[in-house]
Amino acid sequence: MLQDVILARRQLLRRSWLGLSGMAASMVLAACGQDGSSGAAPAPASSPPANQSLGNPTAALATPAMPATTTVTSRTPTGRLSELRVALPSMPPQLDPQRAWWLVMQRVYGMVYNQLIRRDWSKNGELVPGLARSWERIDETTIEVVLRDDVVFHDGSPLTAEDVAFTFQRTLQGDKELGATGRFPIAEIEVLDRQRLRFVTETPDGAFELRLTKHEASIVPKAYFERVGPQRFQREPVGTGPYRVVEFVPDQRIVLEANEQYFEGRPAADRVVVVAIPEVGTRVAALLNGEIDILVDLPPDQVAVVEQTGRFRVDSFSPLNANYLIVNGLKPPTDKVEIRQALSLALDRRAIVEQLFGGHGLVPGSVQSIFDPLYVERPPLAYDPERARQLLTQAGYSGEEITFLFDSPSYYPMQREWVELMAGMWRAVGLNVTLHGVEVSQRVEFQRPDTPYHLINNSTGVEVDIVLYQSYGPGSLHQKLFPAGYFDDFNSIVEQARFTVDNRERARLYQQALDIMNEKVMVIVQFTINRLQAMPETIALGTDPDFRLDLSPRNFQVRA
Amino acid sequence: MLTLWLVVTAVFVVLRSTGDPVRLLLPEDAPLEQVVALRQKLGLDRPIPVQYVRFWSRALSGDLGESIRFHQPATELVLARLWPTAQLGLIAFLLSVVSSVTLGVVTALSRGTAFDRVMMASLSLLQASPSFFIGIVLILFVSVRLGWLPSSGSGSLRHLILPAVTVALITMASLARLVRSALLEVLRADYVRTARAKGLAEHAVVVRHALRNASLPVVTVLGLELAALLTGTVVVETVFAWPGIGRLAVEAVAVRDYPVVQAVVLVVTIVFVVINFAVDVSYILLDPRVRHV
Repeated sequence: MLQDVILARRQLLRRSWLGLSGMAASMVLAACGQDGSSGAAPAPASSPPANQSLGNPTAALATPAMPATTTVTSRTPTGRLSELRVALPSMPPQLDPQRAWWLVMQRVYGMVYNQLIRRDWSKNGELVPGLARSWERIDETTIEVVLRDDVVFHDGSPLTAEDVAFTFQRTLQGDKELGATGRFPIAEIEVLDRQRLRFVTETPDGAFELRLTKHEASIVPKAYFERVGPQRFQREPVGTGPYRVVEFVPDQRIVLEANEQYFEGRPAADRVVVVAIPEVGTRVAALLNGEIDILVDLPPDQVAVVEQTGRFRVDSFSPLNANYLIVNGLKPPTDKVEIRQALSLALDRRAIVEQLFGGHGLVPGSVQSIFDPLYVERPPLAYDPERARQLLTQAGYSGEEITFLFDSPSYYPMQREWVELMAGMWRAVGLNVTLHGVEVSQRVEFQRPDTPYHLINNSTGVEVDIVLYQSYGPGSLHQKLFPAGYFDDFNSIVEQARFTVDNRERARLYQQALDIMNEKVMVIVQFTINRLQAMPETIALGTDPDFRLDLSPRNFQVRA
Repeated sequence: MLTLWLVVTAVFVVLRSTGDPVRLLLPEDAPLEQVVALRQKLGLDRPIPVQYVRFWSRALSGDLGESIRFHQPATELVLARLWPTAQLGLIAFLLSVVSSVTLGVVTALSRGTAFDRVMMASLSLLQASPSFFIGIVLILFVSVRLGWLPSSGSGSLRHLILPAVTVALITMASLARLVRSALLEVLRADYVRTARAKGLAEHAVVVRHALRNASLPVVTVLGLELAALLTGTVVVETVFAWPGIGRLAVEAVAVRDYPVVQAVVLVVTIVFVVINFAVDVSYILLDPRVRHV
């Protein structure tokens, strides 16, 4: 029965408490790249066997709220749909996966493209083969990839090493408009034969396999791309994924048809129609009315409305994303570390997650996600108003104004509410924080070293390998907002870590860096808000913390 | 022409003084050099006066630039969205004109009765309701409860009904009150008493003499309403996911897609100017006094 197949959120929650150790073990395995037993993907030569030294990740669940993923485990698809209708809050303006990856684009990328390696969320994000049959580290800087030989692009051409080389070459040509430019530290790509190629990285890069799982590593077809050019490719994309785009009307609809030759099997719906319904109330009405099948980004306060009908299921999952505040360490009074610590300690994050998000979220211990392959257990960020008051007295704080810039309107549900709750919490310990709501486009304007504000809301990806150096490292905005040299200790650690291939050693180094980030309060991490998707009970769709709507038959099934 | 120039210039300057499309296009952690390079490529690094001259020199040859978000000519995008909005606007306009004139006449003639009072109270309530509220209530009852019509989207006449009714209801509420008061004013006039004294039938008095004279203020407002409807009803388009020009404009402003915003503003201004001109012409047809001036 499908009910057995889908691990509903609550069931999973219950199970996750029962099976803590099992989950922990597999996450630790994931932390070190691949499970040695899955012969197809040999573990990196330099990677030591995983063991308990990385701690027990699941014990760190900050709230009983489930950081779970819903997984589809049945091997035999049971039914088919002639059309699957998906509603997004807005439409992707284009579909070139290397150009940009806004959330709405990522949803569609999951239907159209594949990457060489993918994270298997039914195995807690373990790295497993995607378009690659296997991969192997030859030495510290060389990774050899062997491709599957049964993959064809939507235009009928077979996937070859040339296509893979072309895809990554694009990111090296300095095209400034391409979001993927500079995302892969590749020195050289060597095509060995039709099915095999080698990446040589500029420096040892332990995170290279993880980078290959990201959206910007989606493989595009060389010949087709060169024929149509980058402009047409944005609207007439060709990938290897379970669905191919047959109609793209900007801002109105995207129609996709099943890729009958998809290498993971025939997708469960013949057609997919993606539409945008910006207004939440209308989106929910359309679902209840049977006009759409999958509703993406249901706000937590609408869960009851959808569930009380008894006909729909809501899947809640923790994404690879965290909300945090940029902190200005140059401008008094937030130039004092005590004030910054007090700002963080005054926040009852758990109360916000429990009461405002109905438990659909979690309080992390740092900017790192529990789904990071290098995750190490860490207690949730502390709430201690008493200590906050002490620190304020120590710092001689006497009510100087602290300005807080936030998005209004915001992509995140109920941001206005949580911002006001936070202001109340700050006020309770004596911090005088004033709120300034602006449009996103203006907020990003103020994200500069000479910003007049003390705190600015933001959100981020949460894999230390991807963000700690790039977003928080030397030269980043976060550090420019502090006196020069203030994060030298942090920098020497991340500089060392990014060239460390050994996963366990890298994980250890990054924990030290996260400690410094927390102690000096480089940023104030808030929480991770779960993403919710709703659909009829007859549809099973596994969740993806990296925001894909993964419609391959292993992840998307229909009850007969 | 002056109006057109003023509006476009104001939008051009205001838009550029807040927000940056480049920062929204690139990933948040994109290095600064990448941001600077893209800004340069889009010509946004130049001083505003230079950008302004470039904009007009191209605009006069019909090129309003390429959308930063869609990589498509802005004119193409705007024209594609103009027809759905016009469709919605025209249908809503017709609905509201027919219903408001009928309601206005009926309430004016039954002035002071319980029916009149109930109608006036409901119209005031309707006029005071925000359009998203009316839209959501209609969706809830007509689509979800009764299942008669789709809740959102476009493509068929069935999709058009709910948004058109929502827009029409709001427009109708104000128009009907206007028709009623204009008519009441006229009904007190001497020539109406004369017409009645001549022994004309009541419907002839109302339609031929009173309504025609009451139509002048109504037509002025109608013109403005029509222009507003044709140029997008942002809230209703959003609630019903209607692919109109209003939604395009709002989304373009949000990501600072300058060329699209400018194209929308230009088109909208032209529509307003043309309709205002048409209203002025209609005075001549309706009011013989204007002809002699």
